[in-house]
Amino acid sequence: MQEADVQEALKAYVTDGEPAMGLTADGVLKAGRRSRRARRLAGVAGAGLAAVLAGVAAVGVWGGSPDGPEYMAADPCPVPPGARPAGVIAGDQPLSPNLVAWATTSVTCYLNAEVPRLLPTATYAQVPGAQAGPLMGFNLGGQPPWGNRVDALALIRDAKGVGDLTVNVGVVDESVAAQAEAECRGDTVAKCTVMSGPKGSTVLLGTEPDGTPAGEPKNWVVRVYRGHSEIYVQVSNTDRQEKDGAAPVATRPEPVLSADQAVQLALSPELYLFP
Amino acid sequence: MVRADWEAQFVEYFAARAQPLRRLAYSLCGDWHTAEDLVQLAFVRLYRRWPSIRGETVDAYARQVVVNAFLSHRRARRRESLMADLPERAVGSDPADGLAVRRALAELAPRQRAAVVLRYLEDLPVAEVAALLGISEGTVKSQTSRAIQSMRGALQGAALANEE
Repeated sequence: MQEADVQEALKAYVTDGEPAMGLTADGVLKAGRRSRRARRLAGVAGAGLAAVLAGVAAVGVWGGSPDGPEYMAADPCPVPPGARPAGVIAGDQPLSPNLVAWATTSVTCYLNAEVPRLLPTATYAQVPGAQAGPLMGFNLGGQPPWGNRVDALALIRDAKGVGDLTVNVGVVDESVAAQAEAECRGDTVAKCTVMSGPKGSTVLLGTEPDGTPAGEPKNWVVRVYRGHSEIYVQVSNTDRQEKDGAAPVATRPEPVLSADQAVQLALSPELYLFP
Repeated sequence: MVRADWEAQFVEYFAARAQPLRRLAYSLCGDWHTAEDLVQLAFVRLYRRWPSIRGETVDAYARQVVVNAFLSHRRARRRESLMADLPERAVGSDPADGLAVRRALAELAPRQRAAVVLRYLEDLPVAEVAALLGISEGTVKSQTSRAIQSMRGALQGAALANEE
């Protein structure tokens, strides 16, 4: 018996007596839509950036199931993104479709490998209103700033509770780093620290003011400026849900990653997409 | 792309690939109901990611979700049992050859079974099987070679028994 015989035997095995398909496109669409909980809030990641720096948590609203989001293990990355394709990288121009596809795959693949490594027992759910599933890169399209960046969001649950993670990698002019550093040094609302990163990169870490009571919502916000890349990582200890019309409450003691972990994530070479 | 457009693409992909994926899943788990559950899981995950998936990677992604879901399902089982892998024979049940293939596959370790099915049913090159299972190409070759020896024995044994 040759390999071809085994091949033939396998093909006969799966086709002889094969029953009719029970799944339908309609049924799968409904299951997919339920899974996405698709009530779309435009620009949620962008609103989160300014809102968090001002000390106000970004909020979302559940779409669908009264049971809340569905938490699952991270998904694998089947095919690595490969080399960066050619294309214009400029703060005032949208990314080409090829660069968008490469960048979203790069972010997706890296986060689905690295975040589970940092949080081995965690599970992930889609942020309500987000355009894609947890830790999945997406691009909102259009002109900058939406058109030349990639976002990825996730609710993250482990034994300590639920928190959220936002990562975005965008294209900025190299002059933006100095401006952001100046704003950070002058921030009197949140606590913002300027650090020097590797290879001349600028690292800005925003945390809650000293003396923030335990049990309060907290955010760590990291911005790394290197080349034409602005790499933004924000983690919180909330599930981003309004409670009785008010801002989200803490759903775990501390943000889901430590400030150091958030900084290291933002400094990952794999997220340095736009030199 | 607006949602109506990409949902139409998604439905087209479902029409083309649901049945082959279900056959893949069935060859792994030996049960049509479980196979459909694995395929539904794959398509729900595909749906969530559809706007950002590149066309050339969607097949690889779908296969990987099915295979990983099968392997996770196997790890979660508390007790491996050869007979538990063999569902009750349905009406119009398998011909004897089909039962022999089912037994031969059930005797393989789950990851080895996945390697064989991906290589010989899905007809994937060694490199792609290795990437999908997260193992080296050398391991794919040795695992499938051993599996083929084992299956050959089981299938030839069944063929001899049928002749008697």
